[in-house]
Amino acid sequence: MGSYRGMDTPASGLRDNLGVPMVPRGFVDQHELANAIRSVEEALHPDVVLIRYSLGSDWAGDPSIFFRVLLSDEAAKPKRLQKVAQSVAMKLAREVDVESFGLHAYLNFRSKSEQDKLNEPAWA
Amino acid sequence: MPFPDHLLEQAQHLANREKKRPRQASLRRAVSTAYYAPFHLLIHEATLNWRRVNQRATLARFFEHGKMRAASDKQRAECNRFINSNPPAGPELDCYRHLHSISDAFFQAQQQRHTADYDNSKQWTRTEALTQVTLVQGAFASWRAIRKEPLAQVYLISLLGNPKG
Repeated sequence: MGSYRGMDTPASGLRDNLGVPMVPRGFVDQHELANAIRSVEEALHPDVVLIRYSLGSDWAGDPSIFFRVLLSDEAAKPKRLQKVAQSVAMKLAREVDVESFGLHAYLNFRSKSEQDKLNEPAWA
Repeated sequence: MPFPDHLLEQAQHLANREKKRPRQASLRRAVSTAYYAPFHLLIHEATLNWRRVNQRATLARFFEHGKMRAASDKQRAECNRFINSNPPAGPELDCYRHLHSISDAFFQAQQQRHTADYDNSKQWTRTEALTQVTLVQGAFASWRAIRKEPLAQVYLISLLGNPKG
């Protein structure tokens, strides 16, 4: 994975704008992005517990945003999973619109109980 | 049942194995197989247009992952533009929605396949694997709904890459 400057990469102390992720069509405003994601989280509660993200490159080297969506155990049940995943993807596409920054969006979904077992900081 | 459907069935089987503690090998192979199902479905459908049946397998070898990815990215962007232009409800909008579901699922599945096959640091969960499988199942259903539509057929040709000139 390449090194776009995003949430997973600590900003250097050399220049102020090093903490701002640079993508082909401009800068990603982290506050704006975080606010948009929070509003999606709230709108889809209680199915969605939280959404985390990181910026990087996909396998083809294109700048991308990788969303990690933590679902309630109820929402992650097989009979509901497809519908819930679709609604999260659509809501993120509409509200966050990462394509306008020239980013590809990728989504991964986990249930809360799975994360409780794995306890991965990136999903907390 | 044709080969792509078998792959999808196998992906689902792998994602549901080991009820209590799924093995990473099963989940990763599920995610990988969930990509190869639409990969082979689309190639199979494209080669059906070639009249000489005995040459279809040869023709299938001309499709490339990268070119199919680029075509799918372009296709889903085109679908998004149409869907967001507020068109009237009807068969054309339905067709674009289905085509978006297919091209987006292909695009997503390819990235996930790459991670599943090569990134050993990634811990997969059953929900992550099942999400990929259900995404592809939706794409299969969408393909069945529009496979004879001109838009769908143009998408199939585009999977070969950009025309010259």
